[in-house]
Amino acid sequence: MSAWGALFYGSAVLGFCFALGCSQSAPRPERTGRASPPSAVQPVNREPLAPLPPVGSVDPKRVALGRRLFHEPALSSDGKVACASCHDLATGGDDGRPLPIGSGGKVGTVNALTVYNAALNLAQFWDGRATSLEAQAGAPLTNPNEMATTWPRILAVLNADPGYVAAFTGAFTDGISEKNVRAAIADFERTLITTGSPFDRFLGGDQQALGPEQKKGYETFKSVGCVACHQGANVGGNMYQRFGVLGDYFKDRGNVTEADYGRYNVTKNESDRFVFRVPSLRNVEHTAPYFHDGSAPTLTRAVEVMARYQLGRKLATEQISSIVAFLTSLSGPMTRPGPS
Amino acid sequence: MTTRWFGLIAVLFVVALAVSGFLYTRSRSTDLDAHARAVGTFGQLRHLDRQLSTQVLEARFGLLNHYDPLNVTQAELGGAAALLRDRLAAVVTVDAELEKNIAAFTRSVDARMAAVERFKGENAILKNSLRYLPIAADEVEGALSDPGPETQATRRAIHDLVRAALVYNLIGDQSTRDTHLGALRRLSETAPGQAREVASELDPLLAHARVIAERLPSVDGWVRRASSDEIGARLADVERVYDRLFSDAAANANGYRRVLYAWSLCLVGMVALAGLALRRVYADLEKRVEARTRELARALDALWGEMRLARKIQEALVPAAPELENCDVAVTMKAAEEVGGDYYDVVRAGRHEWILIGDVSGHGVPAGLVMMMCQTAVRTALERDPDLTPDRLLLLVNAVLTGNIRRLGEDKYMTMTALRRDPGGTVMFAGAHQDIFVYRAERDEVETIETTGLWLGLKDATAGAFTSRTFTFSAGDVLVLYTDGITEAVRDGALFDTEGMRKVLGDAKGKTATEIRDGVLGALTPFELRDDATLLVIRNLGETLAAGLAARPESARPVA
Repeated sequence: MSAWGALFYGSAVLGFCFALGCSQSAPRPERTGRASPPSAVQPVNREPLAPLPPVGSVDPKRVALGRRLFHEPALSSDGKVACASCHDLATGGDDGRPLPIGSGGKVGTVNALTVYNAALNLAQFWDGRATSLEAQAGAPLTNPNEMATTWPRILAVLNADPGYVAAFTGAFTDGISEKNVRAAIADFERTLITTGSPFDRFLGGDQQALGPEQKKGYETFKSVGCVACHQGANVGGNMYQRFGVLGDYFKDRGNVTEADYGRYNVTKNESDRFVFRVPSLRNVEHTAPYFHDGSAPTLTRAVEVMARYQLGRKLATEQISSIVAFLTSLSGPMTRPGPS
Repeated sequence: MTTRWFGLIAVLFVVALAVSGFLYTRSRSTDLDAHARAVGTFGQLRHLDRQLSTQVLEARFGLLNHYDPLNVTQAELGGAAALLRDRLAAVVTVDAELEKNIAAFTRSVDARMAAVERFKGENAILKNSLRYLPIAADEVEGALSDPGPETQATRRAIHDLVRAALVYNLIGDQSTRDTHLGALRRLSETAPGQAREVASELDPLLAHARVIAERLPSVDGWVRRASSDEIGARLADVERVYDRLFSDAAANANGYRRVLYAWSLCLVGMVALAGLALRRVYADLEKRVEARTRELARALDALWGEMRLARKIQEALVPAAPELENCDVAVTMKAAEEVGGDYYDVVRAGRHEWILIGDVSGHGVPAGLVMMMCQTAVRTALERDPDLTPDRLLLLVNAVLTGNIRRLGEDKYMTMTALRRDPGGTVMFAGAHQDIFVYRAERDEVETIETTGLWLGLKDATAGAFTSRTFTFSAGDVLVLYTDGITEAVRDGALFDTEGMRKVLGDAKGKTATEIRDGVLGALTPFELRDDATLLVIRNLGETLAAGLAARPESARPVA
């Protein structure tokens, strides 16, 4: 740590203590006798990234049903597009296209995000309009650019299939319903956690899990400021950020569309224009092309653009390549594809 | 009258139950478990509110590695806030004021969430610039190779900028901001005179210093909003109204509870009074039952007296020790009930001796009455015409019985065989009853003679309905007549039947009528008699045998 770094860190600790003392109001008596929260200052490791948590407790029947629904093309208007069409579990959980192609060949407006580790995101979609997996799970079904169907049609299709009727009856007390379709798909998505990546093993103490270039890349990833936004267990996904903090990406790219407005489309706050939910970098080597507009065909290009517009700097080629090497260490084992 | 009382009691019971149920429900209107959950939710929300504030400050000053804990707290706070209304509604009726305060609280939570999100984004940018500023300063200094005084001035300006930025980050007041802006301006002024390679390194440094100047007030503003006490204040408003409503509800419930207690006491009193009244009624009933029981006992005694009288009359009508000329006779008759339906008689009429045996369907007093009618009819008919043939006798008796039974309205009939012993040693008989057994002494074997004809009392009969036949009854022969009570006696599901009778009769050689009768009765001992049972044993002694029997007075004596 440089002298400047030590000064920065020390000032941060002092500042925190100062601010805590000034801003906290006097403690109110607890009616329930519950203990006050623990002391704010806790000595922890300083890593801004964390290993992926294990899959939480989910009902296996609902997961099996959700998997089947996830791969069911009959749910779409033309019977050809399933969730898995744009979220291929074998190839990173997305479609590998800049923009997805839905029922009837309609092209979507933003790049398809991966479903892997989506359960760990703060919210779903690039603009964060779905605050839960259940809310997300039903949206593409009725989106005219995606599966372009309706709930009455979906429920009719499912009710006409004795296999689905039995599966829903086994998994839910009230059988087939919109709520339960969403719940089953969401529960299936909750199992799509790619634990066991080399980087997670590294965080767990296995120094051999990363190669020298990847370790160097991790240090660069932290030192140049990527971790300011790509942080936490999902290496992103836990905050919103403007695309173009230290440069005007959209002006340089041109041809601004409504989809580029990002979170503004949800909140209508001017300050949210061009703000997006920070995407997770887990399995990022498999999810090209990158960004909401799918404009970066390679990781190298994506890192260059991020450095320029988010960090306000031009990274050296070796810095980029080491960061890319590090990013490949974030890939974990993926789930087998298929409805069963 | 009784129905009306029962109806009134039922109505009162239902009313009491309804009043009790209503009072019980109202007295429980404050669900203490739900109240505990509501209070717990208040505590949980305060805890999460403070935790969120703490985590925002930790994130602001770099003590939180990443935002995941913040997100967890946000999710928990959002979830608990969403539950609040339902939790309160489970205890109290949410009025307009509480609704308004809950809405204000929900808005404060939403505002806090939005502030936290803005803080996270802004803080990430600020943190990045604060982190990068010293690195950028090192990179610029690395590019400053000229040892001249201008370079030294640039170095001092860089040092001043970094120091000012960090102090500004630490203190954040106007004075430190002015210092930071001054240092930024001074370093910017040196930029145009720098060499190209120095300028290219200087630009990012200046850019991030400007970011710090721009973002730091913004971040601290969002920190204040993201850690404000707005949620706590709005929650206190909710809690104040909730406490009032809960107290009102509790007081209301206490009132109903007191009424319920009083009502319960009333009910207990009423039940006690009803118990006393019931006890009096019960005592009265007991007395009445005792009186009725006595009356019934008296009536039963009288009835049994009459029954015994009827039996006595029946017994008097049939001959207890019938006598026949030159015959040894033994008889037994057991009634299934106090009065039986079996009939037998031995009558001397003119030159003939009559032996009659029959069985009225059923038993008891009605069967006994029919049997008495039959006995009277037989005797009357024989008195009028001693030379009647058995078929004519039965025709007359049937006419009497059929008319009488019809008038009585009873569903009765009677089997009867009439046997007329003629002087010449033959027996003429008619009428359907049981088979007649005759032990033939000469051949030492039992002969069975079937009886045929109409049952008496069923319908009017004309001449020819009965037919008389004859058989011989020689010296030493034994004539056995009986009713179905004998042959239908049962042991372990098996009948005594005619075979039982034939076995005993097969050993009749040399035995007296009494010995034969007792032999049959002995063989019947293990059997259960289910009907009236009559057995008549007649041994023809003949003149020589009659003289021998005269020496044994205990045996049946010959007819005088």
